[in-house]
Amino acid sequence: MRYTTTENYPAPDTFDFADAPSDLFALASGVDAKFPGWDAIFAASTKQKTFRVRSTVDSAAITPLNVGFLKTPVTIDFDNTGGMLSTSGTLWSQQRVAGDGPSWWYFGGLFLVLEASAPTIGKPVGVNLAINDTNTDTNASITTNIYGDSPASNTSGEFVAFQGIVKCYGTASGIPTFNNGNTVNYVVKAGSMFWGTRLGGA
Amino acid sequence: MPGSTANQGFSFALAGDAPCSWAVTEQLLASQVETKSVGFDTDSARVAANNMVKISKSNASAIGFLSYDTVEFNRGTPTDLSVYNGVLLNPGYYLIGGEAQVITTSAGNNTSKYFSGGIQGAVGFVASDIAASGYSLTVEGTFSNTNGPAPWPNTAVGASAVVQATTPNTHIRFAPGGSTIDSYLYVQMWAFQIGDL
Repeated sequence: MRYTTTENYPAPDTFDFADAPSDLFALASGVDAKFPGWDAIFAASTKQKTFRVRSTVDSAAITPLNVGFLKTPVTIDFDNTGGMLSTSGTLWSQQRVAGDGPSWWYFGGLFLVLEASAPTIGKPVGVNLAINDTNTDTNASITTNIYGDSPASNTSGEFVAFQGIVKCYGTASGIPTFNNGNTVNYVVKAGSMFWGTRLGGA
Repeated sequence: MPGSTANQGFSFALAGDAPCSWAVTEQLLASQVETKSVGFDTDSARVAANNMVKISKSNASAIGFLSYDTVEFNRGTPTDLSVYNGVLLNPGYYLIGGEAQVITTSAGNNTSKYFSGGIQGAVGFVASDIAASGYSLTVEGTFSNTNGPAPWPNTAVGASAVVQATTPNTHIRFAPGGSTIDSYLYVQMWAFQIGDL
């Protein structure tokens, strides 16, 4: 038997008519064994992992210089990542996909926050998505913050967008928090949401 | 009758087969491997070149209804600038976004920007009011160039979201709007397919 140089597929070395069936079987089996791995890779590559979480009710009033959260219940608009919400409802835990190594993720979100009375124009309101993880090489804890802010305007409410790319090692978890830097109460409106999508292996 | 492999069903001759059929079996195997390879070629091209599209409009005279007139690039994602005035998504997950850059000529601007379209499980933002809808997505950014001294700087507003389209020709549109005397410098929207459903 001889073997092809690149993929190591078997082929007859010298022609022996009696060996032809077994030679063909070896070749077919060699190719057959190679393809399932490719099938799995291609199937995964066209189905990137992604999720989105959205609140369905307004939060309670968040007083000046304090933080608030998406009010539960929240709903998962879509998810094929294997991630999960905590029982309290707003902490998203991103499990590492089985067999996967560290990966780059794109996380982001959009909050609509509404003031209770005339805000101080220009004073900020913002969102911080803190993502906690453990470096599997060093066992060091990592916190990566993604910020977004929007100085208060004279509009009715502010949209606060935040987004960033984070390297996730293991079971990363994150929860977006609203930071009220203004002088009046705010609520985080229903419909505020955050999302994540796996960009690829790190 | 030839045998077949466990995973892909590739054919191989059996010792009990008539020798005159072995060549036919080998031809069949070659054909089966070729068919499989063509599929990988197609997938390779698909993975290497994800669908994406960007449309834009430059120098619109005044803020109000905006008709896009330029498809800056389009790979696998149709656009319809005449009816929907936006992008038509095939089923899949997408990162969509848009931005309007505005030439500011006065104080007190107050302009809302929003997406709208048929995307399952999304949410509608309309001004300060939010209404949930199963088949529409509206995300909005706002800007206000208030109370500052002249000259008022040009400004921009944008929004982005990860969305899911579940049916062919799910249309989305970044539709800036508002009440102001200012004009658009450049308005753009884009969609990048993250992956298949």
